[in-house]
Amino acid sequence: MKNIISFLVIPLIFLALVACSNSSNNTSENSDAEEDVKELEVWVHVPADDPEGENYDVRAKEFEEAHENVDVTVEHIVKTGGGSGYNDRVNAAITTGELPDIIALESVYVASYTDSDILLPLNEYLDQATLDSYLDTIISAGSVGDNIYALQSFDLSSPVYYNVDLFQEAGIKVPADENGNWTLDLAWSYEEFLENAKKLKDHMGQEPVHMFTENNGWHMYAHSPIIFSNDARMVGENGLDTEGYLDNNNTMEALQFIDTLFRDGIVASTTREDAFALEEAAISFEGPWMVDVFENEYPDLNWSIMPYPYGKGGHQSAPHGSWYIAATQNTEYPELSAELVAHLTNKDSAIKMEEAAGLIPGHKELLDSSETYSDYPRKLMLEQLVNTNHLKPKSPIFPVLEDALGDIMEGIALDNGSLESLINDAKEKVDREADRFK
Amino acid sequence: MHNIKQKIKQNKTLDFIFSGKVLFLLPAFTLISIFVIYPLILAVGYSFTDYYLLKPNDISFVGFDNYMEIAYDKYAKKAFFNSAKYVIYIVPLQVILSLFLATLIAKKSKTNTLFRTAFFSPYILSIIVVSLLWKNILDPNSGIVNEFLASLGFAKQEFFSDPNLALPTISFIILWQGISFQMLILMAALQDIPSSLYEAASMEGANAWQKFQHITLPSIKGQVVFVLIVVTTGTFKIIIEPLVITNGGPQGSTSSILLYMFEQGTRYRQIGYASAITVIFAIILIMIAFVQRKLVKEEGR
Repeated sequence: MKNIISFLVIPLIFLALVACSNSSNNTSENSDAEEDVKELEVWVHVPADDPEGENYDVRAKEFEEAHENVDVTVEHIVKTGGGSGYNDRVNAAITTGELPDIIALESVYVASYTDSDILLPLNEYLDQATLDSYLDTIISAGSVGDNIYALQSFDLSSPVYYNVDLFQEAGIKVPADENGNWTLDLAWSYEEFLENAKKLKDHMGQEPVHMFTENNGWHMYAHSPIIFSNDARMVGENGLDTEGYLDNNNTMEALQFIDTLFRDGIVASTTREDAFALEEAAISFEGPWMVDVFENEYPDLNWSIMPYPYGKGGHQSAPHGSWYIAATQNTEYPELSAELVAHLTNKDSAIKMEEAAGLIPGHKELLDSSETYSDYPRKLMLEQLVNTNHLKPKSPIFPVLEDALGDIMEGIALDNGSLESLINDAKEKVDREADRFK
Repeated sequence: MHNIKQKIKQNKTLDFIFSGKVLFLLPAFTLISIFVIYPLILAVGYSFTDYYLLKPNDISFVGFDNYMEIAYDKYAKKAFFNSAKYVIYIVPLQVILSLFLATLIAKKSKTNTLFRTAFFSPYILSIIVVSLLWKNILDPNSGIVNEFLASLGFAKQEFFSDPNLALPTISFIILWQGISFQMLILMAALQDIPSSLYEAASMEGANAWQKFQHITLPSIKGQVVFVLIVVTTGTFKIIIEPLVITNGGPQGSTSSILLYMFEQGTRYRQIGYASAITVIFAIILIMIAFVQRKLVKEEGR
């Protein structure tokens, strides 16, 4: 018995003594140095060998070199499929009060984080000229109320692809400006879209438009602009009220249009992978990364990009949003952290990200010199990002809104109840969550 | 007499505590305390609060509000109902089929060794790998099952997009992967039955069914009950397959209690509400465990 106790207790006492002596030594030796060096910690969601992750490392090094006694550590916490790996770490840090100085976050969550006083208002520390450099879209996505909380050096805008050959074969005259480009102001209205889609259907003998129908974030990202372009909204200004928004005439009208697409056989009720690439669909709502896929893997595919269809004139909308960078209220050095956010998302970052990943530069000054987006059809992606409305709800309950819209869209696709009942279900879901925030 | 027995019992307990043997239990007890008991106590505590993950310093006591909300939450009800459906689809089939397979391959032979390996191989694969594998096999556009159906002139089936098909399909996948482990347990039990019993029954003129009914089944009843309970509790805990394959869709038709709890806690960040679901879920599992203890005890007698 004594042996067992000795066996367990003596090493523990030894370890405790060693730990204490180490900590006391460290404290005395390093106390002076610690006072001088300002340590900033940055958490990003991308691996170090990804162009974006690599860019953050380069900018952090630059920042260290430009500031005496500043030490910047970039931690790459790789996100899994739904961003859960990274988000779990951030959630845990929020719970324990151990958030780093700077974090990456999805732009749609800025409202949730600000509602919980997690983010630092950057406009209080950055000069107006610095902020004015960013695209209005980025400032808008990173703001809540009068404050700017998050920035990014680039943005994404998802295009609507169309098959030039199939359009010609179906006898569809593509709207074009004097240079032969399908520009933003020549976008089809709901009626024009439907009329031409029917021609395509008659020609192709199958659903001519491809949409991903599963309930995930894609509906909010890529399909909601079709709905919002009808001056429709999911919630009011406070991001919580559905009454008079999710159930108003404009929203109903827009969803009715979506419903018609499915009921008239314009869009298939379930996702058809690669339908556009295989020329089984003539129009497709897919991500901008598909440009490379089409060019490299389907060289014979004659694709181009068309503007998003709209409901009511003057309300055109297009996808936008990405992961942004923000400083947290946890930081001991708010001014320095805000400055670092601006540095991590500066013009050099924008240039690097365009070169490495083909992303749209997030600084106004760089738009004209952008090589990737100087010509149509890609220029249309830039135009729709810069010149259309961005009405994704700013709400502390964004995840619920995203799911509720997904429920409606999936329900329409599967013909799972009337439009009214789908909207009522979605309203009930959102209202239940919103009540917790009122 | 009763006092003497009690004293002996007390002395035995004290002897055990002071013998040093208790130290050997310490690592396991510490781990269970940290990872099971402490979180469970926290979950019970949080279930009476409005704990929102992004506001850890702003937690208020809300009494039974979360529990009341579950009662009115149709999505929670659907998830509970789906979990019950998973149990109904999977448990009887898994027990019957694992018993059937165990009976077929219990005899030692080279062919049966091959079959045992083949039947057991799905179990050693990761659940995520199996889920993705079946997702591809049953894909409506490029999956081999639908290609095969199409070649026979049948319509392609939307296994995961049709709300009526998705849950049975996921149940089948879970059944396919889980059956082998139960089969192994029952096979071990079958091999323990003395062959003399079957020889005697043969001499009495019993047919195969009679032997199964009067010798095999009573001999492995304990193991069958064990398998039944393990499969039931395991099926209630389903989360990975619906998460990976359908993310609970379409229209919530494949969501389970755990998946709904996970969604509420991590995606919507409502820790208080998710904790209340956890507590109800834990109560259900404790009730099953209680029934298990009862059944096993009765079996022992």
